[in-house]
Amino acid sequence: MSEAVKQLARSALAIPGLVSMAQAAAPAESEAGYQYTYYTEDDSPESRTDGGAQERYTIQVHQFYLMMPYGSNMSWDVEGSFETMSGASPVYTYLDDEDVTRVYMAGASIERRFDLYGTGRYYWSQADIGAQAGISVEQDYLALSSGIDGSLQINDQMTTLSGGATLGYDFLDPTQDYSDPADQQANTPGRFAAKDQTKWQASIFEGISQIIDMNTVVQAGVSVTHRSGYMSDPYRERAGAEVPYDIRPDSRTLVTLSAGGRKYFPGIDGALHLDFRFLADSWDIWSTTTDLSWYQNYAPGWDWFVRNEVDFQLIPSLRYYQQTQAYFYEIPDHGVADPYYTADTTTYYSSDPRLSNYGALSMGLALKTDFRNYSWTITGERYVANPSYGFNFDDETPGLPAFWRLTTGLDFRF
Amino acid sequence: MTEPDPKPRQYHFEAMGGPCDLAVFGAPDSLLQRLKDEVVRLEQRYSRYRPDSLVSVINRKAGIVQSVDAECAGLLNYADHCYRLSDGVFDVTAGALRRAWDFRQQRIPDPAEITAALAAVGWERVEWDGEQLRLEPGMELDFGGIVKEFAADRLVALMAEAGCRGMANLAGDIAVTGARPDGRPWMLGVRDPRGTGQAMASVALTQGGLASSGDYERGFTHKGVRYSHILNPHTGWPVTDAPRAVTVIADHCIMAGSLATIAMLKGKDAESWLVKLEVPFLLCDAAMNVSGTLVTP
Repeated sequence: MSEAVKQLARSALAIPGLVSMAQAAAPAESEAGYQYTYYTEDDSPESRTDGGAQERYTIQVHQFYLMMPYGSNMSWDVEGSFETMSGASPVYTYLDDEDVTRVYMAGASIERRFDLYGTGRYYWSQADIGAQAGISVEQDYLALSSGIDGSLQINDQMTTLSGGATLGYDFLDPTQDYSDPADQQANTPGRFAAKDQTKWQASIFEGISQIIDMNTVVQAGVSVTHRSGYMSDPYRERAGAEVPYDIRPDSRTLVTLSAGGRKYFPGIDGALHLDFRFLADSWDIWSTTTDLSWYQNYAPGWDWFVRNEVDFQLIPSLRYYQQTQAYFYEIPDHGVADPYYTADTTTYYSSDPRLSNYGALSMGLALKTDFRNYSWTITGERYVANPSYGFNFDDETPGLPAFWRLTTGLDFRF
Repeated sequence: MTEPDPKPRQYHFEAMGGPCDLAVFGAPDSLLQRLKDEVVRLEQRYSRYRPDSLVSVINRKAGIVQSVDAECAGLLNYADHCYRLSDGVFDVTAGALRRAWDFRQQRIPDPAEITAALAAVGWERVEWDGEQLRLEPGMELDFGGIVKEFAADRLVALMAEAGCRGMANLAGDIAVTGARPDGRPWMLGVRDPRGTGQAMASVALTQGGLASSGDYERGFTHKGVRYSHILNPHTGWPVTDAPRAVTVIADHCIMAGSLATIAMLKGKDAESWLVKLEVPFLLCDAAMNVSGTLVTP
C-alpha cells in the first residue's frame, strides 16, 4: 500500500463511526526511537562568583525507546537513557560584607546516570490501563519508581477520563570518604547527615479532556503529591563556610491544577495549544506555568522518488513560569554576626535559588519531518530565569540558571 | 462460550436504490433490525432524491454559510481528500452535470447545456473549513459515490460492536468484519460489466472492503461512439478510454469505492494509477480484457 493510500485511510478513519468502537485500540505498529539532548548552562558571572569553577552544567543525554504491540489488546515499551553531566553547580548564595549577593560554586565534577523504564498496557475498546516500573542509578543516588494509569472514553468518545498513581523510593549515598565520623560531622555535616537517608513519594492524578467540536479539545487536571524523607541537598555545604548547610523540612505536599485547550484551524492547517498550570505546596511555594505553542503543518507534495510524501510540522513555543519563595529560603548576610553554621542546625534553611521568588521565560522552536515510516525532530530551546520575571525586584539570585537545549531524535515505525 | 453458528444468518432488504444483503454469524434479530435501521438512517440523511434529507437541506441553502455535524464533516473532509488525490476529478459537486446528461434517454446534450451545468461544478469553489460550508448558489452536493460504501463500513462496524462476524453487501459495495469464524476468507463474485449476471472473477476477502465502479449497462453508444456515464467534472463530457469496470480492495469499503471511481475517471491512465497506489485491483477494459493484481491465473 502506498503512502497516498495510507493517508487516505487516515481521512477515512476520521469519519465518525467508520470503524467499530468495540475494537481494541491497541497500537497496530511497533515504534523505535533514539533521541539525543545537549544541554548547556551559561557560565556563572565571574563578578558574582566566590571561588570555585564558573563553568556550569553541560549535560548530554542519549535516550532509546522501543514500543511493540503484544497480541491485539496489549503493548509494551521500554525506555532507557544514559546521561553525562559535567560542570559546577552553585553551593550557596550569600550577601558579602558589602551587601553584594555572591554565589559559591562547587568544583567541576563529572557524573553519570542510567535510567531504565518499562511499561505494559492493556487496551479495551474505550479504555486502557498501564503499569510502569523504573530505576534510575547514579553513583550517589538510586531511585525506584512504579505506577499505574488508565483512561476511559465516555459520551460517544467525546470525553476522556484519565487517572493514575505513582510511587517512588529514593536512596541517598552522598559521595564522601568516611574516615573519621567526628571529623565528618564537623567538616561536611550535610553529607554526613544525608548518608543512607531515603525519601519516598506518592502521587495521584486525575484528568479530563473533552472534544468540543472536531477542531477543539479542552482539558483539565488535578494532582496531589506527597514526599517524605530526606529532602535537603547534601552538596549545598562547604567546610568552614560561614553559612548553615542546607536543611529542609522532611515532608512536602504539592497540589497542581491544570487547564488547557487545543484549537485546530483547518484553513491554515495549524493548531494553537494553550496550557496553564497552578501549583501550591506546603513549603509556601506557589507557581504558575503558562505554555503557548503553535503547530503549523506543511505538506508540500514534493515528487522526488516514486513514493515520497514529506510532511513538515513547525512548532514555535513560549513558556512563562513564576514562583514565590519557600518559607525557609534565605540568603545569609555575612554582615550580620549569627546565625552561622552550627553542627546541629535545627532551623530549616536553604539558599537554593530554585526555592527563591523568581520567574523564567523559555522559547523553543521545533521542526518535525515525517517521511514514510520515519519521523525526525529537531528542537532548540532557550531558557532564562530571573527574579524580576517573577516580579521580585528586591533580591538578586545569581545562582539561577540560563541554558540552551538542543534535542534531536529519529523515530521509526514498523 | 457457545460454538459459532456454522452458517451466517442471511438478511435481505432493499435500500439506497438497490439490494442489500447481510450475512452475520450468530446475529440476534435485534442486531439485524439495527443494521437495516442504520442503512435507512444514512439514506434519509444523504439521499439527493429525498427532499427532507440533510443533503437536500444543505443544497437548498446554497449561498449561505452552514454548520454541519461531525459525521457529515468527516465525509466532506474525506471527499476533499479524494478531490486532491484525484487532481480534481473526484468531485462531490459533479452531480450537477446530470442536469445535462440523461443516460436513460441516451441523448447527447447541446454544448450550451453542458456549459450551463459546468457552472455549478467545482469543489475548489466551495468554502469548507472543516466545520462550516458554503456552496455557491446553484451548486449541489452529491454523496452518491461515497455514502453506500460508507454504509457498508458502518454495518460491519456495528456487527463488530455487537461481537458478531459478518459481511455487508450493498449492491456490490462490500465490507467484512474480518475472516469468517472458521478463518476462511469470504469468497465474493465480481459482477460482469456486460450485465450477464455472471461473475467475472472470484475474489477472496478477509478484511476491509471491496467496491466496483463500472460503466455497466448505464452508458450508451451513439453513432459508433460509446458514451460512458462516468463524467469528467472538468470538461462535462464522459471520460474517454475509461475501463468498463474497476474493482478495488482496500482497508475500508469507502476507500475501495472512491479509488475505483477515481480510477474510472482517470480514463486510459486507470491501470497505471492503481499500480502506483499499490492497491489490489481488477480492471476490465473496453475490449473486455481483464487485468490487475486480483486476477487469478
